[in-house]
Amino acid sequence: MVRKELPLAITFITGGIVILANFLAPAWFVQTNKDITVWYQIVTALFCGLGVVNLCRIHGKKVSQKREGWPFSVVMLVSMFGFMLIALYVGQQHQLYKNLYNNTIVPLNATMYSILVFYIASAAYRAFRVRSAEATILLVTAAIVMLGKAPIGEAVLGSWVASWTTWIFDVPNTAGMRGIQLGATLGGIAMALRVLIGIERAHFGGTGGE
Amino acid sequence: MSVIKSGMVAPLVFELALCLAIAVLIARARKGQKLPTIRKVAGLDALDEAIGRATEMGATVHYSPGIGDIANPQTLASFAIMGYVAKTCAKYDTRLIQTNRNNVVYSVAEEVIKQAYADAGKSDAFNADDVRFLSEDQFGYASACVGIMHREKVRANILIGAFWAESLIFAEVGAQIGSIQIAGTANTHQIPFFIAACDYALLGEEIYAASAYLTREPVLVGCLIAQDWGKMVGVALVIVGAVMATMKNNSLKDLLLK
Repeated sequence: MVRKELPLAITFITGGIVILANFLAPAWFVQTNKDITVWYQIVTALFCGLGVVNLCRIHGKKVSQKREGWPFSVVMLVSMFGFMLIALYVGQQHQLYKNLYNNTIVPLNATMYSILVFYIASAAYRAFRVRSAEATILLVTAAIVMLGKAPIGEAVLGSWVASWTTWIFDVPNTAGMRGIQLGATLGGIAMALRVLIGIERAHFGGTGGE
Repeated sequence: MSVIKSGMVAPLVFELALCLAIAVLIARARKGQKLPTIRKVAGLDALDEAIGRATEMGATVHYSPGIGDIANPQTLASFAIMGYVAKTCAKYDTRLIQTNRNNVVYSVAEEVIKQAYADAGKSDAFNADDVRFLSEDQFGYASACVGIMHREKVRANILIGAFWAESLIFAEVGAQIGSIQIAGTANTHQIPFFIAACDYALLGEEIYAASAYLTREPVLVGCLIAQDWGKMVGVALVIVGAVMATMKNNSLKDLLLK
């Protein structure tokens, strides 16, 4: 009873208040919604410990058993605890912490993000291979859009490329996107309602359902 | 002061109507009345094929629920598919590595997978080390996933949930290492990447249909049909609104903004 019914009751009450707070104006709903949001943040913060334990368990085992790539696990553990201790000792606004963050995390993130350009090129190559009528339409449309967006397209082919590109973005692209968004939004609302009234229970284990 | 916020009357009415439709269809389903059948969703049908292929090759299945938090409906939808994947992997003794970016999602995922192994009668085969929290950082998580895909001989890559810029990194790396890939998201800007790089893609609302599709439970199927009714109302409003706006009549628009 306690394992499933109590969480379901808490979900129904808090979820109901949060949903109603979006529609109803009385101050009680607004304030309770804010309080629930704060509680959500507190509970989320408590879960951080679980993540740290999982990382320590997996990488600790790897180091102790000297499995392949164990030095990387040492680097990971030293970095994690190093950042944690420095933040606790000097605070996140201290220059030392900022320097460490800006000179390690920021460039690493930028590197991963910039790799995307190569992945886009290889994905585009695969998608543009003419194998079917749909792939041909995709190839022609993409060629027009690429030429319309690159300065050389308009310079060589004239202004029609840019206007066709705008039309492709504004009409078929927007229509398709909105169609998917309409379905996805309704799906999201229905999903939230299913969780709220307790008929979707996949998060308790299994494949959903009562 | 009005009880309902300005501009929220129409959304509230729509939401209540959707709730009513769900309640009616659940009641019909519980009475055993006939419900329409669900169309085939290739991406969900292919789950068994992907896990089967990984099993034949003695390889690993990788599952990512995306980078959304627990409050994201896409993440909640992903749990249903994750449970099914874990149960199938447990049945065939195939290794499943499930990775997480969010601490709360990680702890729920661990429970979902543990329960799936128990349901398959393979509780002893559950390995807590294969449910992994990697990093709260978006690209930290992406790079750790890429490492796992390369190192752990992943031959079935299942990506279902809320994805952002990391979607193409996962899908392209999966394609490069020769994985069969099933991906799905409701984040419209990432769908083209999944279509381009994956073998099967679940588009938008299809991920929310997973629990009904995989279990065929009448109550969940009923909810799915209510969702379709809502979509039909939405489409009707779009058509009527477009015609009225063309005729310079804004009464529907004004009504919806109340």
